[in-house]
Amino acid sequence: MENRVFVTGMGIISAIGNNLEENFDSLINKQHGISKLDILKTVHQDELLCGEIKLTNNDLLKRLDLPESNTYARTTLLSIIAAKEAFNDAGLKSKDSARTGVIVGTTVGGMDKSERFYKRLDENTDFIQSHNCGFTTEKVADYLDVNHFVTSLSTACSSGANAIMLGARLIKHGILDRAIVGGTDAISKFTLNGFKTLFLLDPNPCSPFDKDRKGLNLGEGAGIIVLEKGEICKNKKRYSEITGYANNNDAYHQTATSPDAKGPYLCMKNALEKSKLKPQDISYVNVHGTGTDNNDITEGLALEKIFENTVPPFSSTKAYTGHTLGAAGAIEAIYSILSIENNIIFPNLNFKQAIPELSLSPATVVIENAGIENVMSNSFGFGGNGTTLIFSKE
Amino acid sequence: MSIFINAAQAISPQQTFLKDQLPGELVKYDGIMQCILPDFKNYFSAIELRRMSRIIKFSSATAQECINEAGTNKMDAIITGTGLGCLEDTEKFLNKMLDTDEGLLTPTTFIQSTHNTLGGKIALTNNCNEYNITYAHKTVSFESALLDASLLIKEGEKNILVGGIDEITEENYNLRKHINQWKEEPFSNLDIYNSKNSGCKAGEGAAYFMVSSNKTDNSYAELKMTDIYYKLKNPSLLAENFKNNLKSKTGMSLNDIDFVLFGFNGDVKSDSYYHQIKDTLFKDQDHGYFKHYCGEYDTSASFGLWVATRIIKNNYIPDNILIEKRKRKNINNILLFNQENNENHSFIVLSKC
Repeated sequence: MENRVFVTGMGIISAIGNNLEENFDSLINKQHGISKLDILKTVHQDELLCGEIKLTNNDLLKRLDLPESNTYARTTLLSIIAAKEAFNDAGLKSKDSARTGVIVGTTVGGMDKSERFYKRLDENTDFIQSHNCGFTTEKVADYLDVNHFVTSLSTACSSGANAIMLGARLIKHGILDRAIVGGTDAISKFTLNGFKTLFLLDPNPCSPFDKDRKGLNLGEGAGIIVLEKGEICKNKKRYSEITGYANNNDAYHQTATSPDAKGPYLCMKNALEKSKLKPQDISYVNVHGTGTDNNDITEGLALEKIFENTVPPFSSTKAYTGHTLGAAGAIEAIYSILSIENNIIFPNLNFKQAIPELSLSPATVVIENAGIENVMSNSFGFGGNGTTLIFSKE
Repeated sequence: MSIFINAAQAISPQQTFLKDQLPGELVKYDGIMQCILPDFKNYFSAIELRRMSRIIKFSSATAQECINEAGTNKMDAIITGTGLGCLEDTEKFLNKMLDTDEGLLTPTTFIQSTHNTLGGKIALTNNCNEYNITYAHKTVSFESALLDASLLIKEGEKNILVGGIDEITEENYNLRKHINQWKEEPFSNLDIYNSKNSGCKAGEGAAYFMVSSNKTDNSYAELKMTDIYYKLKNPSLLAENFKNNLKSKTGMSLNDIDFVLFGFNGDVKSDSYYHQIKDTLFKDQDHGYFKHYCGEYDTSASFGLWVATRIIKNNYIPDNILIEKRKRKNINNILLFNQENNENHSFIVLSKC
C-alpha cells in the first residue's frame, strides 16, 4: 500500500507578491506584476516587459538575515525566501526525526551571477561555485538545517513540477517521510536574450490563449511546498493531497510541441490514470499557457482531446507572473492548491478572443464557490518535457 | 523486486567505447582529460554534425550503443544526470551575448544549452514519449538518476535508460583554475592515488546503462542499492547508516562486499575521507579506484559504475585498478563509493547475477 502524500506548507515569491498571502490577494484582485525591468540591468530595459520582483539581492538578503558578503545568486535567494515560508507554514522545526529531503528544480541556476562575472574573473571568483543547479538546493537545505537527502533537477520549464513529483514518489516509496520541494529561477540576461532570439517574447503584457497572442513575458520567482506522508501530518493543517502526476516527452522538437500535442496529451492522461480520477472529476486546470503561438494551440488541442470537448474551467496565471521557467511548475502548483483551499478559480488576464482552431475559452473572471475538488496543473518545457500534477481536496 | 543492468557503454578519456574488457594500458594525460571520440559520422547526419556540440554527440552515441547492446529501444524512461549540462553551448551563447553587449544573437546554442537537451535528444532519436528527467545535482547527479530508475522499476516499469554525462571545456577548465580545483600542470592522471597535494584532474565522459526488471543472457549485474547522503560528515555515523541500509535494503552484511571501488581523485583532503572509510569499515575487502581513467567531473561515478560492470562480469580486476594485493578470490558483490570533500556521499551496490 502506497503512502498518501499531503501538502502541509507552502511558500512563494513572485512578481505579484513576496509571500503566499500577497500572491493570493493579487490573484483575486486581478493585479498583475508585469512591468519594465528595474532591478536587472540590460540593454533591453525599455523594450521588454517582465514579471520582475522589485527587491534587490540586498533586500532579499536582509529578509533572510544573511550577511551582505556571500556567494548567493538571485535564484538561490528567491528559493530560500519561499522555502523559509513553506517550512514555517508547515510548522516544522529543524532536526526532528522525520526523514526529510530537499529537491529543487531550476533551469539556469546561478546564471544571473555568472553573466556578470564570467569575463571579469579578477573581480569575483565566488560565482564559479554558485553557477551549478545543485548549489541552490544545498543552500536551501543548509538554511533549513536539513542534511539527509538533497538533489536537484533541471528539465527546463517543467523543473519545479518534476521536483514536486519526485518528492511525492520518494514518500510513496517510503524513502522519505517529508519532502521540501519546488522550483526557482531569477530573470537573467541569458534567458532574456535567449527567448528574444527565438522571437517568443511579447513586447506587451502577454495574453495566453488569445487569438492575437504574441508570446510570453519572462518572470522570476520561487515556489516551495512541503509534502508529508499521511501518518506524520494527521493532526495538522493539510492543504490538499497530491493524487496524480506524470511526465512524458513529446519527442518532436527541442523547442516546439508536436502538431498533435502527443506529449501534453500523454502526461495529462497518465496523471489522471495515476490519480484514478476520470476527466470529468477535474474541476479546474491551471494550464501551462505561456502565450506563445505554439504552446497555446497545442495545449488547447490536448485539452480538447483529453476532456472530449467538455473542458473544465481553465486559466493560465502567466499573465500575472510572467513565465517563471524553472519555478513555474511549483508556483502554479501553489496556485492550484490555493484554488482548492479557497474554492475559487483565478482568471486568465488579457484574454479577448478565442483561438479560432479551438472551441475553448479560459476563465476571465474570479469564480467563487467554484466547487473545486481536483485541480490539474500543466508544465511543458524545452526538450519536449511535459509534466502534469493533480491535487485533490481531502 | 530485482533490478538488472543489461547494457553498459561508456565514452571516456580511455579506450572504453564498445569494449568488453577494461584497458590494460592507460592513456596518460598531463593536463585536461578529454574523451577519445568515435567517428561520429556513423551516428549523425551532416546537419546534426554541424549543429550539435561535443557533449550532445558523445552522449547520444554512447546512449545509442547502449540501446543497441540492450537489443531494445522500447524504453519506459530515459533518465540522465549531468552536473553542468551543455557547457559548451552555454558558454558560446553567454560569451556572444557579453561580447556583443546583448547584440544580434542566434538561438541554436541557447536552445541546446538546457541540461535536458541530452535526454531530449535520445527521446527524439528513438521516438520515445515516456518519462524523461534530468538531474543536476553536483556529484550525485548520476546517482539521483539511478535512484529514480530503481523507483520506476519498483513501480512496474521494465527498461530504463540511465546516463551520466558531463563535458569539460578549455574555458571552464581555466575558470576553475582560479579556485584551485585542478592539479598544477604537468601532473599525470596515473599518479593520482599517490598524490600528496590538493587539486584533481579535470575529466569528462558519458556512461549509459539499460536498467531492467528482467535478467537476460547479457546482464552484467544486479543493482542492489543506490544511496545518497547530503551531509553525513561524521565518519562513524556515515558507516552506521550505510551498514543499516545495506542490511535493510539488500540483506547483506559488510563482509558480503568483496570489492570496494573508491572515487579517489588525487585531492589529498577529499581523498582522506576515503582512506578513513577504507581503513576502518572495509579493511577485509579488496580495494580499487578509477578516476585515473576518466578524471574528475560531476558524473564521474557513472564511469565508476561502468568499470564495476566490467569487473563483476569478468570476475577480474586489472592491476591498474587495484590499490593493493587481492585478498578475496571472487567478486560477488561490489560497492562503488563516491563523495566530494566529505559531502554528497553515494553508495552503489552491485551483485553478480
